[in-house]
Amino acid sequence: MRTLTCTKSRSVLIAGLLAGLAGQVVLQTAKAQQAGEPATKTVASDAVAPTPTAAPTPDAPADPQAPATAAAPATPPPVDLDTPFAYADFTWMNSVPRNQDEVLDGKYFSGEFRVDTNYMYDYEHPIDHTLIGTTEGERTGEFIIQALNIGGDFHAGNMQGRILTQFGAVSTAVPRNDASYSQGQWQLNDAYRYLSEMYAGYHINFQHGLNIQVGDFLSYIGLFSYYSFDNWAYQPSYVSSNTPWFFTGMRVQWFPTNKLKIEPWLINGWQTYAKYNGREGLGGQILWRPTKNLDFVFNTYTLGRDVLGNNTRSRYHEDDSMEWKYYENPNKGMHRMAFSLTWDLGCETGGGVKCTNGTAATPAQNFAGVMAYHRWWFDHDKFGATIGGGVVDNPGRYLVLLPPINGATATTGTPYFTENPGDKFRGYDYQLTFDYMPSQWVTWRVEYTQRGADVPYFSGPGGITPQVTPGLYVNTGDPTQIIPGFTPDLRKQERRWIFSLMVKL
Amino acid sequence: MKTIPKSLILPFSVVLLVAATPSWKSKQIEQWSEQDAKLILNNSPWVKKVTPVLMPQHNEAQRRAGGQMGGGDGIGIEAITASALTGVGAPASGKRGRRPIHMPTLEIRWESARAVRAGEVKAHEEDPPDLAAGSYAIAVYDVPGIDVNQRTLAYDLKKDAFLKREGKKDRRASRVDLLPQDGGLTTIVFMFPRSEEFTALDRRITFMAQIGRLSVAQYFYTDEMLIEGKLDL
Repeated sequence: MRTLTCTKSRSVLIAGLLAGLAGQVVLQTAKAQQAGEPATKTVASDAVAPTPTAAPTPDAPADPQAPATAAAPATPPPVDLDTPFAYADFTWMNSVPRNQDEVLDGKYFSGEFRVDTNYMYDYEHPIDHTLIGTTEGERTGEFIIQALNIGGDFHAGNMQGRILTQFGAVSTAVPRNDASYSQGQWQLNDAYRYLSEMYAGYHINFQHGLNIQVGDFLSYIGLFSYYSFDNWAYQPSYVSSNTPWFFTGMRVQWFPTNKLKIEPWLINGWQTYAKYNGREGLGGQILWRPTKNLDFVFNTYTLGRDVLGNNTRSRYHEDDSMEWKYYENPNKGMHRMAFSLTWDLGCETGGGVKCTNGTAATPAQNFAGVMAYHRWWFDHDKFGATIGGGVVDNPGRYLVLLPPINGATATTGTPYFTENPGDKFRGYDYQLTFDYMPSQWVTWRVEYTQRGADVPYFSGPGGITPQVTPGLYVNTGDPTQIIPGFTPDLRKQERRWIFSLMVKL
Repeated sequence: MKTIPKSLILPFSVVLLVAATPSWKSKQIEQWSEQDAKLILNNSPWVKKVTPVLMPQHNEAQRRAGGQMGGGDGIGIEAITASALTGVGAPASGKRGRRPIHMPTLEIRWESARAVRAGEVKAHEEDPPDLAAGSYAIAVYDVPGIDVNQRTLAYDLKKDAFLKREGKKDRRASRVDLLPQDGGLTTIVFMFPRSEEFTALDRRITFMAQIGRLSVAQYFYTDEMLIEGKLDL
C-alpha cells in the first residue's frame, strides 16, 4: 500500500508537470496565433467552425465514366432534424472515429478496414515478452499486429447487418477473458473469436427510428471504443479496459428524439459468448447528446449470473460517462479542447458474497472506478495530445483481468493470482499520448502509460511463463496447478512506451 | 502644361465627397430615395452577404450510432495515397464519388435596425418580417433545404444562435421565426432579447448560427451602424 501511495504521488506530480507544460504550449500557441491574426472584417469564427469561405471546389478531376449529371454541383443537404444525432458533427469525441469521408461506402454495403499495430517498450523487459492486465496489448519488445478488421455494414431497405472480423492478437487476448463457453459443449470461443461484431437487424420508421438487432455487438461500457483508432489514448484506464467490449444477445435501439437513444439489452452475460448459468443479463444504454459539444452515456447491467460454477451470484454495474468539447476555434493552432469523464459502480451479490458491508464469511465484492481524459488538437487535426488516467478499487477481483500465468485463462484461473471473494485489488494508471494524424484515416501514436496496483500484478523481468530449459519459456503442465520451482515475477508497477500505427478505412 | 484652377478644386472635392458618402450618412431617413433604400438593403453595415460553411457529413460509425446505416457516398480507394499514410507528398487526389456542393450565398440583415426597416418600406419590399417588440432581430434570407413543418426546428435553431461580444456573455436567441420564401427558400428571423442594450463600446458584434449542417457567422461593427449619429440596432 505504501508503494502504491508513493507511486501515486509521483504519478500525480509528473502528470501535473506535464499538464502545466502542455498548458504553456497551448498558451504560447494561442498567443502566437493571435499576434499573427489579420485585422479582417470577415468573421474569424469562434465556436462552430464558420469562417465564411468560397464554395468548395472539386478537388479531383471529373471521372470520365461518371454519368453526366455528376458534373452538376449538388445542393447543400437539407436541414435534417429527423435523423438521430445528424444535427452536429461528433468526430471530436473519444470513441468516435474521426474520418469524415468514407472510402468504401456503397448503396448496399459500407465497407470497413482497420489495422492496428504496435510496438511496446516495457521498462521491466519481461523475459517472456508478456504483457498483463490489458486487452490493448499482449506482448512487449516486439512488433504486434494488435487487430486487423475487415467487414462493414450491409443495408438494404430496412434491413441492417454488420460484420467485422478481428484477426491479430486481440482475437486471443479478449476471448480468453470469457469463461462462459466452458459451460457445456461447442467451443464458442473458437467459433466467434475472429469476429468482433456480427449482428443483423431491422429498422422501423417509428418516431426517430427503432432498430431491433440480434447478434454480437459492441458495448460502450467504459466509454472507449474497442478499436483503438477511435480513441484518444491507446491504453484505456481500468474502468474501460476491464469492462465489456462486446455483448451477445439482442438490443432495441429506440430514438424518441434526434438527440436521445434508449437501448435496452437482453444478453447472455457480461462480455460473454455464451451464458454461464441460468439467467440472462438485462441492461441498457441511454445516450443523450443535447448539444454538439456535449455527450452523456449511461450504461446499466443487471441480473446476469456471470461466474462459472456459481449459479446464484448476480452482477450489477452502472457505468456513466460525459464528454464536453469546451473550446473550438479553427483559426488557432491549438484549435480544439475536450475532456471525458467516466465513473463506474458495481457489485456482485449472492453465492457467497454481498455488495457492501462484507464479513469474513461473506466478503463484499464490488467495483468502483473513475477515469478522466483531456485532449488537445493542433494544426487542423494533424496533431493531437491526450493526458488522462484513472483509479479502480475491486475487492473480489471479479473484473480484474486474470494474468495469463502459465497460460491461465478465465476458465482455468491460476493459483498464483487468485480471484476469490475477499481478494483485494486497487490500481491506478495514467497515459500521456501524442498523435500524428497525416490524414483522416491514419494515426501514428506515441504513448507513455504507467500503471500500478496494491498487489503484485504486472510483469517483471522474469516474466510469467515457466522456464523449461535455459532460455526457453513455455507453458508447462496444468495452469491450475503450482509448478515446482516456478514463481511468476509479478510487480506492483508497470511503465511502458507504446508506439502504434493505426489505419481505418 | 495646363493646370486646374485652384478655385475649382474645393467645390469639385466636395461634390466627390458627397457622392461617395453613403445615403445613410449623408441624408435623413425621410430623404432616402428608393435607390438609397436598395443600396442599404444590398450592402451596408446592417446587411451582409455570407457564404456558409458546410459541416462535414457523418461517417458510417456516426450514422450507426444514430440507428442508420449507409450513405452511398464513398469517395473511393483512389483517395488513399502515400501521403495519407505519412503526410509527405501530394495529398489525396482521387475523390471519385462526391459531387462538389454549390454553397448558396445567404443575406444577413440586422432586421431590427431602423435603417433596414425603413429601407424595406422605401424599397417596396413585400411582407417584411414581423418582429417581437423589445428584441434585436437578425434575419437570414435565402436559406435552402428547410422544411418549416419540422416540429422542433425553431427550437433547435434557437439553441444554436448567438450574438457575441468581446469579453461579454453571449446572448442567445429567444425566438426564431421561419418565413417561407419563393423558390423553396426560407427566411429565418432570430430574435434576441434587448434586456441589456448594446452600445457603441461593444465595437464588434458577431452573429453566429448553426442551420442544420450550414454554419453561418458574420461581424457587425457598431461604429458603422449609425443613423443620425446614433447607434441603430
